[in-house]
Amino acid sequence: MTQPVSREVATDVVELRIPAKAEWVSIARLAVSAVASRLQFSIEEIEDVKLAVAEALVSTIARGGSRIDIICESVADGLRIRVRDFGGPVQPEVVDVTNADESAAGSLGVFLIRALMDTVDYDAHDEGGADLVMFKRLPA
Amino acid sequence: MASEDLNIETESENGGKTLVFKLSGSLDLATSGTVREALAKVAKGGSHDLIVDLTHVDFLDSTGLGALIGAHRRAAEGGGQVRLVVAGGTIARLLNITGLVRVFAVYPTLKDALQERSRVTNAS
Repeated sequence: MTQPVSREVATDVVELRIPAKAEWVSIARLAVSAVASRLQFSIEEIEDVKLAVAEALVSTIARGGSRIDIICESVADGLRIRVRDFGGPVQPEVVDVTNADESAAGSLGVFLIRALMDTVDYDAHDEGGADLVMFKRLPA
Repeated sequence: MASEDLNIETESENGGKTLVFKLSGSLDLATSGTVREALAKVAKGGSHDLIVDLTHVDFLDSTGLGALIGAHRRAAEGGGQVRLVVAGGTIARLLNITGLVRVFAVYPTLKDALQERSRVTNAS
């Protein structure tokens, strides 16, 4: 996940903090799809964003930590979403969806995020965790 | 059977040879474990001809796909198969993106799945 994400200054920002637990993922999905629907995305693109965020949360919950911040930033040409976990330092290559029972699904989550979003970037942050930053470009 | 916001109904078809799982709600991180266990239980009991009806599933993520892939693997090992019923929309697109539309036998309706006709090979 090394593609650069848009660095444009956000015009509007929506932040959501959820416990790093599976039962809160649906709340985050709803919130992010509501944000995306306020922009000029198609229904299909909104579904893309919703699934990408859900997959990012699956990955971050697997990493541990007590909470996850989801920051949605409306920029001129699209929507930038930062999923921030506090699961400790990690190398990019080990960030993955883990699913011990069904290992075949393990890499699907990351694959889907890459397939559904225009750019994906990853970085550690100084509060002891990882930032997954995704960008969905608005249709021209 | 209900878990979080997923409901599972099971029916027997073809004189008891085929088990149909009708799912409704979200098949995601919060619910996929329940589905995985339900599918594994019937495989352990010797049922390897399964239909999973996703017509009323409104959200499916990689963990849900993982549960279905696991069921597919177990069924194949037992000489059977897992057929999926997908009406279209987001789930059909997801099966296309992941290439799983070529792994599972996918049908547009439960009736088609039971009769193994009108198999979908490109679910978009």
